[in-house]
Amino acid sequence: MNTGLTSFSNPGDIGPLYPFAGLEVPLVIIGVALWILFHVIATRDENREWEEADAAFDASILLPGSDEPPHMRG
Amino acid sequence: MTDLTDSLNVIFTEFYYWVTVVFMFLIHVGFATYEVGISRRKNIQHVLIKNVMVIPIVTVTFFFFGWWIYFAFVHGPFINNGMGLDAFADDFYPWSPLMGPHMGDRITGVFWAAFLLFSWTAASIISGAIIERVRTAAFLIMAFVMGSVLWIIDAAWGWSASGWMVQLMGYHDAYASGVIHAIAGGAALAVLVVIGPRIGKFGPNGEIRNIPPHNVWMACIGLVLIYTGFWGFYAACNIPIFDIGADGQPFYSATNIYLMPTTLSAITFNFLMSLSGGMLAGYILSKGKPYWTLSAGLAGIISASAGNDLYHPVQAMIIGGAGAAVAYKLHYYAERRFRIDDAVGAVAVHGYAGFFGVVIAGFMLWGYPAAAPIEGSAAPWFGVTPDGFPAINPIGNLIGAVIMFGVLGFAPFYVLARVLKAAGILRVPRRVELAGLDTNTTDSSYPYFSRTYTGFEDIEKQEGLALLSDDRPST
Repeated sequence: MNTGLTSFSNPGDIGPLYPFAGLEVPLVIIGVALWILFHVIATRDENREWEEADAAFDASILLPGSDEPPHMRG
Repeated sequence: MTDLTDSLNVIFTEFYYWVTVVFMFLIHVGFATYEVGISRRKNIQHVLIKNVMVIPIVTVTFFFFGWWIYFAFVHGPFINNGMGLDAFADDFYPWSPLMGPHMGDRITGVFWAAFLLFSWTAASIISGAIIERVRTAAFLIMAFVMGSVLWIIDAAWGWSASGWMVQLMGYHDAYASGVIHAIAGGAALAVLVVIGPRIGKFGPNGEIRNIPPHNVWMACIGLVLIYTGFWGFYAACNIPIFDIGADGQPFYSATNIYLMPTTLSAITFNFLMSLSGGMLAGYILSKGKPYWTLSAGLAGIISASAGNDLYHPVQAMIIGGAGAAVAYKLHYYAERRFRIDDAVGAVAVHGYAGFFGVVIAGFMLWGYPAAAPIEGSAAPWFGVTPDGFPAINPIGNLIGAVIMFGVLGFAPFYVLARVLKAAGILRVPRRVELAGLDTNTTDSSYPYFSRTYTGFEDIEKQEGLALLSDDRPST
């Protein structure tokens, strides 16, 4: 069992150094899927975050003399 | 590799680009620092995370398709004499064995990384303009569209010896005034038009209100860090050793990206002189305001970058000063006339100065060889040199500047921003903007530098008083 190279004795004959050479296409497909999944999750989570923040809005921060949001006051 | 001279050349080149990548990281330290400095305290952590997430998003997408686009799209495709995708790009599909550790290739990884760092820059330029109201998820979509699609298309067209803009129009933009800066500035302007100003920036009668940054000197240090990283950017735009000899007589030199001669010394002269020209102009125009003086230094470099491989240092200084003045004046004109709220001046420093720089280079370098002609190319549109090379000229560079700023920058980003706005994911809700974008997710960024009360103080005081009591001398 080996995942790629078993000898470095003839470096001039070596091409790819990484394991599982030949499976680059499936690797790229997995990578692209993970990238798209990131955008989906990040967008969904952020939308939820802003909805919650919108609902939790406290108008007292707009009063004169209030310099920061309530959640930052400790 | 079995020949020592060849090996030294290859391994030196590999190390050269690797060093440029390390330097260019500082550009992004600078972007993050100055964006955070410019933002208000209630938005700091959102601004920071939005900016730094450019790094992973653009990196993976540049691996998946950006790098291939650079080689594949040099002819348009189908703009130069009907030539389609260039076959040379076949080695740069993401599944190519050369796009990974390979004993037969030591350059692809570092060259890819150098271009990748340019990609981060293009995306980060947009980031600063729209802080304090854009959503992170929307920005990250913009980041990969700019960093891994649009800018690399313009690089294929105008920043490659084989690019159709170079071959047909004699386009010359050695250190990316247009290729990076004008396109990103144009894109940022489009998003600003769609997203609108921050709440309260403009009064009911059109008066312009200053929104003070939370930390000016931090913003200024960020700009200086960008200067530092710019050294890597400039070096990465060169090929360190290339045989430019004719008729079989080798002559080794550094070249620009078009494989035309320059030297590291040349760009060192001109980088510093154009920076200085910009700072001198910025100091006078802004009446010594640190942020604008340093921004003008950046605008100075960007204004001269298109021709900094060949200018005389005093020319670079004058062009840098003039470009900085154009950027500064246009920033405030656009703010007054069109109510553009560009929080960091990115459209001015990158967009207007970059556009200016490309146009000026067309006049200053009129008649110089742009690149060696490639096989199969149509005849250049705006003149050739006595050697038959496409000649640099004002018309080619003017059209090129319009393509960079307008066609590949403003237009697609206007459409993209409209789509994101229609989907309801471009801007945060108004109440969130008022409360601050750090609302609900993070604590205050400066709990001890304000009137913020964290609750810890009670514990500290109680226990501290007890300690003082224990330490009190018994006398």
